Amino acid sequence: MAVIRDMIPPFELFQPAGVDDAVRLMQEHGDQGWVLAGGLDTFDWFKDRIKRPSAVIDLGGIDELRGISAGADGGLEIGAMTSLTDISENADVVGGYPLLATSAGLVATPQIRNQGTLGGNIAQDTRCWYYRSGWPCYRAGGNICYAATPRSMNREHCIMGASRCVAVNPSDTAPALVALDAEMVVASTSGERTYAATDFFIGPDLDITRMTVLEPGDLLTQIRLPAPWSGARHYFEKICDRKSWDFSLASVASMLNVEGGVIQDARLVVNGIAPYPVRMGAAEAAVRGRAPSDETGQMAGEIAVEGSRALRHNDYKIALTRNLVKRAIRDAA
Amino acid sequence: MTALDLYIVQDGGPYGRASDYNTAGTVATAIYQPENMRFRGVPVYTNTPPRSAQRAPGGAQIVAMLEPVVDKAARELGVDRLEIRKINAPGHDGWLGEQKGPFTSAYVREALDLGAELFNWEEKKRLSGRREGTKVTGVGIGLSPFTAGSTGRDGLMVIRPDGKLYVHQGIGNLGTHSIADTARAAADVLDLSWDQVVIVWGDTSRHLPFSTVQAGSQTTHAHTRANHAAATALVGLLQELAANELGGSPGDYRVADGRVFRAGNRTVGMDFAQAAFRAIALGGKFSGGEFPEDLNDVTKASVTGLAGQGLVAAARDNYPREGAVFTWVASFAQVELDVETGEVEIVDLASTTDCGTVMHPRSLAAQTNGGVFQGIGMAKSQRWVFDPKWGIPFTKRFYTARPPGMLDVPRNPRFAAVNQPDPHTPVGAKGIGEPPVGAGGRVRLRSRGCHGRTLPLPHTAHLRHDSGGAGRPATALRLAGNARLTEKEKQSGCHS
Amino acid sequence: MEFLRRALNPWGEDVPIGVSWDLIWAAVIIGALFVVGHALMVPKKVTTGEIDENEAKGLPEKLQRHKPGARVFHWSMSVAMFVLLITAFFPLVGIQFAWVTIHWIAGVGLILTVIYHIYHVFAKQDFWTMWIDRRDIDEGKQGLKAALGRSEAKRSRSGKYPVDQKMFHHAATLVTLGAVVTGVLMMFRVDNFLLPQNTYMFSDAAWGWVYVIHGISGIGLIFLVMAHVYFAIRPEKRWMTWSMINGWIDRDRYLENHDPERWVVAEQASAAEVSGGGGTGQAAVSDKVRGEGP
Repeated sequence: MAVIRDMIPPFELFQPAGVDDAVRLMQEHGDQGWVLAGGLDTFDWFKDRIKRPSAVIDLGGIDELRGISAGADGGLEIGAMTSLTDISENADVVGGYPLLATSAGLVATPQIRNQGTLGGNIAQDTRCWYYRSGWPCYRAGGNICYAATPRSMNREHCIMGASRCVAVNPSDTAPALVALDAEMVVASTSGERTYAATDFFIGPDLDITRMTVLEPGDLLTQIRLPAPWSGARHYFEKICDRKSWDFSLASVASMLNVEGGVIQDARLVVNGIAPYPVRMGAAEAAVRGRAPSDETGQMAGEIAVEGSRALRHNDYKIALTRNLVKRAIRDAA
Repeated sequence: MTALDLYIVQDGGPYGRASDYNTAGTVATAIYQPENMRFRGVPVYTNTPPRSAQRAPGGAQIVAMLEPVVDKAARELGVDRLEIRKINAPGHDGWLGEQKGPFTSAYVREALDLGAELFNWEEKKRLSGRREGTKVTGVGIGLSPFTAGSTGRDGLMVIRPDGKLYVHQGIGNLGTHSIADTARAAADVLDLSWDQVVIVWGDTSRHLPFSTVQAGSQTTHAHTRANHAAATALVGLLQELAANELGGSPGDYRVADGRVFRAGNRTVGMDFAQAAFRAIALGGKFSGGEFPEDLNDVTKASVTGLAGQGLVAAARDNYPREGAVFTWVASFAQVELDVETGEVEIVDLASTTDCGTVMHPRSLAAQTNGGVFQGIGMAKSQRWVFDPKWGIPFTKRFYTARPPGMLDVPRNPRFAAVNQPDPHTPVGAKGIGEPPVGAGGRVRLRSRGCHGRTLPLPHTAHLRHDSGGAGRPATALRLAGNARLTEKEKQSGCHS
Repeated sequence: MEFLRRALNPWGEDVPIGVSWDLIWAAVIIGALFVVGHALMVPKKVTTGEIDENEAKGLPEKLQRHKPGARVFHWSMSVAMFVLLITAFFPLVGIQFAWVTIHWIAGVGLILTVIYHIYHVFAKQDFWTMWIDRRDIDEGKQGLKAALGRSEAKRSRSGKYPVDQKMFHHAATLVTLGAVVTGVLMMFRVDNFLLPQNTYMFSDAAWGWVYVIHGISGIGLIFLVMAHVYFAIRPEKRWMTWSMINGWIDRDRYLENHDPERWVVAEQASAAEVSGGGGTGQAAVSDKVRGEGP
């Protein structure tokens, strides 16, 4: 008998008008509730009948979650439901945070960027095709990582940060936000709390079923950007198999504070190679006090991939990461 | 090419239906005209998902296999890559297959010359191997033939009392325009304004003739012929009808502009509407009451269904054809490869074709470029991925199957056609749907100056960690100039 | 409440993937009920009778109950066990931390202690001291009657190990071995430097049962550890707990609780001999034990 795969299982739809209502509904429905932002991650899950929530909380009607406004101390505050197109085209973002504007502008396609939200892009689930096929892997509550076996098709999977699960974080904007030292604001019925972007993303060693700190009942409401580094150089590059509608095989985001031809401070983040955006702390420390040259970049690249381990089909990611880090130092402008 | 030893092992899936290996052998002879050849093909049944043909089955693969070998030979011999293809390409006296059968036509060298001119090969080839910053330039040629037409189908058309010509088409409408383009053959025979033509297509309730499948290697050739035959029959019926009504012999009458009239005196005649009414009144062979016995059964039923509705003409394509119909596509590309990321950008692309008479220039360009892009996708990113343990596919969505998008190909790919009619078919047109795939796939790989042993060859195949053991190499390909290659890798690498 | 967690494998086959984690709470609740029930029902030490002075003649004041090797094993295993239980179950009840590496390393530690214990038992100790024989069963019956306050309970002294300790030991052995064997197999699915990854070594269903057994064993250990800790801190049992720390018991405890025929002291070295002359410190400890005794 044919299996119909394009029918979404029934659910109860809630369309709250405010954050308070949304978090109350999320609390009420717990792990049976599903938060719908742009829908671009959601509907694949639903149509494949892999995720079957009983309640969907649509954030589309919450105006307070949209928009870009001036924040404290010269920074910016971006509502989690702000579209990626708005972010990539906003003058304040383009002017002060070109790293974020560039990364948002490289997400998928114009149509997806129109519909997709910053919060959704950050909080989206991994694209591991074993997991996305609904197989009972660790991330789905099972006892196996199908992608980590010696026979697995794991070209897209991770080279560091693995802990039983080898899926990678798929977000394009996440590494930019970590590099920008953004702050994530999370609301729940118990109040509001904030996380540094670095801490917002978690690995499978901490919780194998989540990619972020968000638990059922938690709503990412806002992304706060600190005041931009004055005169900082930046670099963002996304490598994927095709130039649109593709998730990165690896992406790099860097912020360099260069004075007198010497790197005073650096923030260097690579995504697509681990279950979370990887802050390359050792490489950052190594490049401080050096010129942003090819040699410095090469050294940073070597340091960045120390400890990385390839799976059967992804050892190119080690070379790619090394070279991207090099470019992020050498070519930052 | 003095000798070719070709040994193909084909993974045929569980049912072994595909005969790609056999087609590959034939296409190999077509491209290079080897003086001696041994061909062995071993299709193997495997416990894997079922296989089915896509585009240029057998042709796309063999082009990808042999073209790099020919490039290597050119390099060893010190012969230009364009020249070595022209030397080996067939002319009109060329042959193909085990029986060394003839081609109906082969303007291959003309297509290569046209492409070289369009692409500016002489200048561009000097860029090959140029390195600027992290980018290395490569240029390459891909030449791909594929069978381009069948015969023996039927044409069926009706002039109804509204005076319009209704061309019944059994082929489908995939957006390639062939459903209209092949009907134009009838309009041309009748010297009829295109706006007086109605195309009838869909399901068999609409009384459609026996047709080919809608496929690039079939439709244009087969149905320009079939519609040409039916339109020619229709002209005969109009002439006979006019002679019956207006006197004289059928040979005294001409057909043009929606009228049948006496040669030299357009006032003596009738328009198509009048002809339709008269045909209905006369019945018999004029309105589908009788039909040629050699029609295929499907067409006979359709003619019967249309009987009495106008002047009905049906004919089988019985035109002679001496030889194999092959269309050729030559593609030229310039690419830039970033040695640090493995990304390849196609900065220039030009394709030319020998597909006989050009039926529809824009559609032809779309078909050719589209096929080339598909080949590029197959060579670069588009793929099937199955888990080897579970046998379950993962590339079920566009974002996982990764066909190329518009940003992956040059914004303005150039295109030209030799536009020489095939002498063995009345309209002179050959199909275009299939051969561009092989050309596109090959040209992209060749432009990178390397040949891989597996496809697709994503740009990340250029990058390999030099630890040497962490994982199996993604492909056999290495790239000279990569940031960290071992000496062994450098020695085994290909060079643009 | 379901006993097993089940899932459809990639071919759509219904296979077990582990034990239901609801059983964690079941084990905790049962353990708590047992502890509370026992504490309420058995409030006092079971009286075993007076000390026979004749039996005391010739016995040293301190008698070794646990050799240093045995004590090292016990406490090493305890540490490993607590680490294993904490790393296994805390994340499941919402206390998140990176537990996997700690867990398997602790598991390896447990295995090493078990191997050492087995060697020690066969090479250095009398294997049969832990064996349950007819007298242990009689002892158990009498102990149970006494615990239930039955007046006809007779004085019953055990061999080196009382029957309840033996029963605990065997139960712990069973679940520990279950956890160890399945844990070793699970190491083939976890990235480690000791064993190669071999995810598809068994069928899905077989792997599922490996995880089920591991889970049951772990959950069983929750109950056993709760019970063990409870008895260890029971006032009338503390002299045994101390003996696991310092190795010896005093003569009175020996004669009060142990049958000299079943635990022959002549084969025992005195605590002073064993400990190399613990002197005043040991005497002080001994006094304290006495002082806290029931």
